[in-house]
Amino acid sequence: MSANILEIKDLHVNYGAIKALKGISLKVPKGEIITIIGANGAGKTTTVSTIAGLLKPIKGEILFNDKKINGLPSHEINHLGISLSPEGRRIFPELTVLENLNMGSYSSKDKAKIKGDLEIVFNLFPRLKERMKQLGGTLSGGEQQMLAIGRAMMSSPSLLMLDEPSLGLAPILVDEVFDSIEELNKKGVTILLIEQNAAKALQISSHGYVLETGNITLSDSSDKLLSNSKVKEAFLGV
Amino acid sequence: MSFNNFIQNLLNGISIGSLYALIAVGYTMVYGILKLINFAHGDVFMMAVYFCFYAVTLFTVPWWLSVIIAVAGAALLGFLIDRVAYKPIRNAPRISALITAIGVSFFLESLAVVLFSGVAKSFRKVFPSFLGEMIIIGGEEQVKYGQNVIVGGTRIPVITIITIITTAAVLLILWRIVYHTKQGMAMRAVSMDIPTTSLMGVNVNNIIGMTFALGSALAGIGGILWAIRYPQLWPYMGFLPGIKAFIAAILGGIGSIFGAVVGGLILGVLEIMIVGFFPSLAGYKDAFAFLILIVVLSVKPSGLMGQKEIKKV
Repeated sequence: MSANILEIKDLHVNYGAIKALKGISLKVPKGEIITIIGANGAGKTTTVSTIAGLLKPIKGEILFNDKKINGLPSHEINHLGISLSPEGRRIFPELTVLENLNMGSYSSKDKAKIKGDLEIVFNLFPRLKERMKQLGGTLSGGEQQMLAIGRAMMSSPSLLMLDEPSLGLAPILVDEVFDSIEELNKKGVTILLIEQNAAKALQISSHGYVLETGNITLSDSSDKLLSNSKVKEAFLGV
Repeated sequence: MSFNNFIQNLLNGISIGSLYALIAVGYTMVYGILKLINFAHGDVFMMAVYFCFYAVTLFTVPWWLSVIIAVAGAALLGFLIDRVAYKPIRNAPRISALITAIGVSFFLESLAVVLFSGVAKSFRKVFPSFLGEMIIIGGEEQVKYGQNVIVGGTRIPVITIITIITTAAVLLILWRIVYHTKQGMAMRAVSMDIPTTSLMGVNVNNIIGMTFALGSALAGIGGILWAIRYPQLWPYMGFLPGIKAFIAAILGGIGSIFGAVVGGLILGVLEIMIVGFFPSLAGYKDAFAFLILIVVLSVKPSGLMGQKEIKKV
């Protein structure tokens, strides 16, 4: 088995006539935090949606633990151990917080394990435990983001993909969310992080990819990207 | 109207309303998850009655077993309709699905004409005769034409009571399924957000199939109760009850299960009461349901319990 949990080779994805991804390749090594940064419309969400099986590529390969997964329906990809916390949180507004989390562990039959995972999520986000019986739609933006991440964790994935977890959050909450991502990673979960908040994302990740209009234009260790003049200019506002 | 009459009419209305509710729930559940009006729903209702009829007359199974066969048959038929007709066009525009639904409805009606002939059949001898009896409360015994008969009193058909009790029990079971099982939770999740539900590892097509099967089973139960009350079988018998139940679902707020039940009961009771209070309007009984539809659509299109659709841009 290779050291990469996920490998993408020459991936092309179209939205109707629009070419959203024009042949990207990337690697996610086991146990690390890898980030994809880029402006709006660069193709970041398209990338993770395609990995999760919501979109079908027209060309290229997605390998998960060396096995080809593109073409599989999204529920089967979830069963393999890939979980996505989608852009815009997408929590179920009329299910309770607890039901939302239970949706995350839907395919698991091991009740003891579900209980254990629930404890982990509640330890990470105590606020969710307090609001367990509340409807998802009544939570604040930050709480909804915690719920979305917690829900994605409930299937105990080996690869967790987070699409813009800091979007629309107050700065203090952004720190909280990033802390919890690091904590999760320490527990052994490999993380693919999509962010517009490039500075933050590069600080916690080991490697970064820069996506521009459907192409990967830069790929380097996060430390080097942080000091890269092009990245500084385009994303860090320095 | 005397008090006896009022009670009779009220129970009668609740009983008819229960049948509308049973069928309306199927419409509303499918609409809730697919935003599709399944016009074939009334024909599943019809098919179930034929299943029941032939199970007893042709295969001579006991009547209670025929009920189980018919309800299971209806559930399977609903599931198959989704798999064969709706699943292939899941991502097509809603109008395509609507036209398909009308096509499936015509197909089932024509199939029934071919298989069972267009000549009406009687359902009267299929079930035990106690179902056709009346419970009489009060009244006095008199001798008329050389026979002892009871005059006056409140008369309640046995089937009215059975219909109300069965409906209540079935809806209670449905409520348990939707709100207290994992699959029910997935059904509610699908009705909110299909792609995100599939991200949770839920096979969405199975959940949709299950919803069709559940709704169709309810329509099957409604069909059998309907046929005991109006014992005439023919391939188009599902049309009017289907449309009325659809109106009930709109009245209650389409997409809401509780709304469908409330809408069904209101429609049933109003229909019977209008005829009871104004016997001269009896001929307009069916038109009355459509009047309700027009009023609801023009005054409160989201129905009594429905949520206003918020289109996010």
